[in-house]
Amino acid sequence: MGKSAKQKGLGNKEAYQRINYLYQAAHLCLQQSPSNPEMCRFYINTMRSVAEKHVIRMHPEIKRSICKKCCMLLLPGITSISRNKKKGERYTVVSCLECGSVKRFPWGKNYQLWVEKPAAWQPS
Amino acid sequence: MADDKSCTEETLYSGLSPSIVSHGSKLGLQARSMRQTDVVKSYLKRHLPANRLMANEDNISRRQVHLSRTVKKKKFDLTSQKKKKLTNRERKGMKVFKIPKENQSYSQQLPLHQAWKQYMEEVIPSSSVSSPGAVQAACQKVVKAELQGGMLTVQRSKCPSYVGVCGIVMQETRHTFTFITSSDKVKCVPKENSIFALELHGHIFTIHGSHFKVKAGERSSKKFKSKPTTDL
Ligand SMILES: [Zn+2]
Repeated sequence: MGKSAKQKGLGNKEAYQRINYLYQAAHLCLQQSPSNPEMCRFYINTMRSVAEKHVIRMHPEIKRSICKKCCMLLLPGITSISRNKKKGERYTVVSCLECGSVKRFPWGKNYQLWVEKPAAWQPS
Repeated sequence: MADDKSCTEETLYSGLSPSIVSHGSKLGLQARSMRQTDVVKSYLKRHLPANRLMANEDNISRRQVHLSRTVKKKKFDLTSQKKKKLTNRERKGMKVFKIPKENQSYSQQLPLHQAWKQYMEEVIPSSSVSSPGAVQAACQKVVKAELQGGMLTVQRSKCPSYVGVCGIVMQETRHTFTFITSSDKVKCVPKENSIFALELHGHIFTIHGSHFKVKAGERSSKKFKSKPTTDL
C-alpha cells in the first residue's frame, strides 16, 4: 500500500513541477506586462487543466489566488479588491477587477480547510 | 486640504515593518518590482470608455475614479453571476486568451525564458543526458514537459515562409504555436506539416508537429505512440 503510494507520487512529479513553473510564469507575465493579461490567463488555464488531468489537488493558497471565471491571478490591490465583512459569521470578500466575480472565504472558529486537517498528511 | 498632504504616496504605500523586512532578507525574498503607476494606467486604459480617457490622458493620477462604478464591458455581464465558470466556447467568444499582436516586446519575455531554463534544468538535469540511452529517456520527458517560455525553431515546414522562424513560445494551443521573434513580431505557426527543433543542454530535440496535436494542458497525460516519420 505504502509502496504504491510512493510510486504514484514519483510518477506525478513532473506534473507538480509543471504546475509550479506555470504558476510562477503567470506571476512573471503579469509583472512584465500588466497591460495584457491574456498570457497570464492562458498560463493559469493550462495549469488548471494539468491539475485536472492528473487529478492533483491544488493548495488552497494557489487556488484562492485564481479567479474562477476569467482565470486571472488575484493579487490584492493590483487585480483584486479584498474586504472583510460580517453577516452573522465573518468572511473575506475578494472581487476580481477584470470580470467582477466574487469569492467569499469564511474564517469562523470552526472553519477548517482540508490541508489543515491532519488526515490530509497521512499516507494512505 | 490638510488631509491631502497626509495622504501622499509615501504614507499610502509605506513599506513593511523593519522586522518583517529583515526576516524576509534572511529567507532571500525579493520585492516584486511592479510599478504602481504602470498597473493603474494599463487598468484604466482597458476599463474606462475611450473618450473619457482621451480627454486627459496625461494626468490620470489626479482623477478620482470609483473602481466599482467603472463601466463594465457588456461581454462580462454581471447577470450571469450565478453561473460561475465559463464554458470554452464562451471563453473563445470573449477572447479571454487572445494575445494582441501589437505592443509586444521580445525583451519582456526574456525573464520568462530564464525561468523556463531553470524549470527544464529541474526536469532534465544537464548531467543526465551524457549517454545515448539517457537521451532516449530525456526525449520522453521533453514530450511531456511545458514548452511555453521555451525557444523553438521551425526546422522544416510545408509552407516555406515558416521555415527559420525562431522565437520564444508564448502560447501553445491544440493546433498552433505562437512565437515572439527577436524582432518583436508575433507569429502563429500551425503544428500540422511542420517540424520544430528544441535546443537543450547541447542536444537538439526534433518535434514532429503533425504528431503533437494535443492541447497544452492535456499533453502530459497522453501516451505517445511511435509513428513512422512523415515526409513533407
Ligand atoms: Zn475574474
